Amino acid sequence: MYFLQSNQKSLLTSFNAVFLTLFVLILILFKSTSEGLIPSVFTGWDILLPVVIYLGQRRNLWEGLLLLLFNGHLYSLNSSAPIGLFVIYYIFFFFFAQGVAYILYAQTPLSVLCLIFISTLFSRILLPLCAQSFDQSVSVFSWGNWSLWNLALNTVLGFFIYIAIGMLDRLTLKVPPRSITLGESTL
Amino acid sequence: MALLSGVTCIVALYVHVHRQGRTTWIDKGLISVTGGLQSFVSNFGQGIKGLVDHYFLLVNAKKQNEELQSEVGLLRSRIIAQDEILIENKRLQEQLSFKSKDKEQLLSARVVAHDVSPDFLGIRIDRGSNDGVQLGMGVVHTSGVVGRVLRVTPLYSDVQTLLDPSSNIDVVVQRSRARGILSGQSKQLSCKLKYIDRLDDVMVNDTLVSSDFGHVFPKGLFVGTVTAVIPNSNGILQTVAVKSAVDIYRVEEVFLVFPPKQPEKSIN
Repeated sequence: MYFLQSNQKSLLTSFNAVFLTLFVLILILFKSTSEGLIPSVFTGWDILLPVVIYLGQRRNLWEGLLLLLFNGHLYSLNSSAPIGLFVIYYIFFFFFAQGVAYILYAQTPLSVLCLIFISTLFSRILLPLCAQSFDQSVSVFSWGNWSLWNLALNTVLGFFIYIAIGMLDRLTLKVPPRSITLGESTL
Repeated sequence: MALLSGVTCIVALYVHVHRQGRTTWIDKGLISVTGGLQSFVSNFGQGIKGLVDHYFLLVNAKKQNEELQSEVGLLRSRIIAQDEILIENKRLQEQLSFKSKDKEQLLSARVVAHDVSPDFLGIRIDRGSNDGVQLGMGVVHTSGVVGRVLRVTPLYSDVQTLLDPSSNIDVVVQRSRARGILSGQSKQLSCKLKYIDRLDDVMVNDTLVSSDFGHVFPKGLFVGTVTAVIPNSNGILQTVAVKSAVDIYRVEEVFLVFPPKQPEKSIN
């Protein structure tokens, strides 16, 4: 992106949110239309969880919340769950990731994997609790909820989604706020 | 604190606007856009799958064809026998002067997308309110019951399948006529029969069929097969696991069930 003028660079950065939403839309399209074509064991992964974790880690509060509300709503409209359930569920994760960012700022592959794995484990408890408030009976203790295969699938695919959004940020020259803070503190 | 209050207010308002499956014009627009894209991608994927299936995976086609030919012959003879019974049944009903019931009307629809969440099992179909689809309508497949319409937009509708954890369908055990509520367990891709009394006669491999409660589904449609019965020695109910008749991940075409027209009330 060295060939771009400074105003073109800032324009590209301002379109980051649009690119991120398009990325989520592509994930939604892929997940919702591929289920009949691939074996059902590969369908149990959450596409938005790594996106929300990324937003919590690499965006400021308002920008992250705005993106979360829109993408969470888009996700809700493509699910048979009551509208609002996933928005509330992902808001918890957003604040969780914002809080975790003060302790663990996931930059290395190992720290990203750890963060996604912990979030996946946490999600297995949080979703049934949120679902209860909408009169939905998603069981916490069913074996399917704690299937090791699903946990591993979510962690591995979540890791790749997290890395892909990082690449998107780099392509659109988006600098996360915490990187600025870390940079200043090291100076 | 102010931030938390603000976010809570926005979320509460958002949930209130969307209560009981209501959709705003923004939602309808978003669903139309995503539905259109899903329809396009789904068509493309199915086209490729069809190509692979037709040209590369037809190794045992001849053998299967012979087996199916013999099965067709057997089924044809059974249909003829069934037709005889139908004619006899009709004649006997006429003799007893039974009133003929209006049949449910079916409308075919194509599945354009599956649920994006792994914890819920819904499908999106390419029929909406423009085709007369209404909330709560039954959705069936040639293999059995699929679910109910949950959300309707002008072009697309979302269906809550019977494997969805929030789905509840009234069913009857065909052999013993024991009645229960079938609830989904999406994570296990199976269902659970609820409110079955300990003394009710339910066995493994029993067939479950739809009841005519609420006229949502045609009566006697195949719903699933009992896979396990776990008697509860302490409680009054027993746990019954059920395998759904329809493989939700493989369904491509479904039928919407329009309820039979109610006779107009005569004015005395």
